[in-house]
Amino acid sequence: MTEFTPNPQLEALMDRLAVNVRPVQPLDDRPTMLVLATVLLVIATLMMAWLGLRADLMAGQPHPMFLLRSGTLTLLGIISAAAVLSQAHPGVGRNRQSWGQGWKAAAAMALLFPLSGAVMAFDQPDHAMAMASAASGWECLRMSLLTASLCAMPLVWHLRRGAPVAPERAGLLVGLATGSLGALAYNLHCPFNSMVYTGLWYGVAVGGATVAGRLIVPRLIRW
Amino acid sequence: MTSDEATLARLMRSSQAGDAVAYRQLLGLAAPLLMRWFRRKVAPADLDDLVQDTLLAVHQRRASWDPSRPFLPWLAAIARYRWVDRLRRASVRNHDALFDDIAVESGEAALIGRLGCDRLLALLPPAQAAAIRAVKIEGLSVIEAAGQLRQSESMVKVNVHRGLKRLAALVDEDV
Repeated sequence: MTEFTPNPQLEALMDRLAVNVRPVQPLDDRPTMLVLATVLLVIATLMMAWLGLRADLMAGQPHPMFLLRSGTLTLLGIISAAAVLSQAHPGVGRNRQSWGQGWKAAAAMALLFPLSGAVMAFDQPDHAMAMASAASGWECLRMSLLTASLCAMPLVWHLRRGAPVAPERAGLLVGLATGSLGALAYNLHCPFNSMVYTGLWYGVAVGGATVAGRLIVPRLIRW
Repeated sequence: MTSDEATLARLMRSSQAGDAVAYRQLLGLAAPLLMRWFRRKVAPADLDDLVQDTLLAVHQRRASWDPSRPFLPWLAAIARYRWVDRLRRASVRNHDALFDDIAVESGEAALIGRLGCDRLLALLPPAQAAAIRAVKIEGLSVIEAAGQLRQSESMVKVNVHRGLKRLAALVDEDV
């Protein structure tokens, strides 16, 4: 093995860095997850106070579509958010482990909604047109994206404190996680149980947030 | 002192706690590792700059190392990110790096395998990987690379550009 020849400039840099070293707290994911959960809870509470809760929830008899949608969005949101947090701690090979791949399976599962919606739209074109032109669809999109933007703040802040080495992937995950959580919050109000509506408007909300995250977030976290 | 995983992780834990002596030892052990690795990846003129750049990144981002995880994969990820970033910037400046290909030494192969850069290149389409190896690592001009690879000059440029872009995206994916 070649001997390492000390370079005076390099030695001076290492001396300077060592002299200036200060204690640092290893970056902890849990406070960020707690802040994210708090932000989501506050927004969901405000949204329900403003728009109101779904009627079936008020009656204590949630519709199966609501349960399926909530479960899928919750899983996708949590798994993607965990993947975002792990992006702050780089490590060669880490993406092949745990959260590194889990979000892909969750996203593939969630894709069943827009796919099923598309199949049903072909079968019931009139219903599909009605769902596509529903005014509340735009409200769903607007509220989901607004919530997603607010939820993205703690995640971006966390990534800026860490060392994300794949900014594009981290940005995409931020969008996917916050888009899912934003849609989850609006879902508590959304009165529709149609698969076509869910596939279209929730799909656009989560997909739009993912694309926005992929395009915007890398500029904020590159180091 | 040896630069094995256990020693480096112990020194990094102490460094995060503010121990200047441990930190100086850590940097002293990390520098030759980085130097040996980068020597096969960049032009000799850029070697010192890249090692210093990586050590500064280690310093600035040291809180991102999780003490419950191994240290070397973290160092490798930081080093690879700085390397790809430099390649990308060099590509933007249209600067063809020269390269002095030093024979792989015993021990170095294991380190390179651990850092995974060659494997990263192997994940690119063959034409892109070959163009990057020829132009960015072996230091051939675009004209020479085009002749050697039997690609047009514009195709070599496109393959280098697309390959580097893809490399940047892959930087955290390889084992």
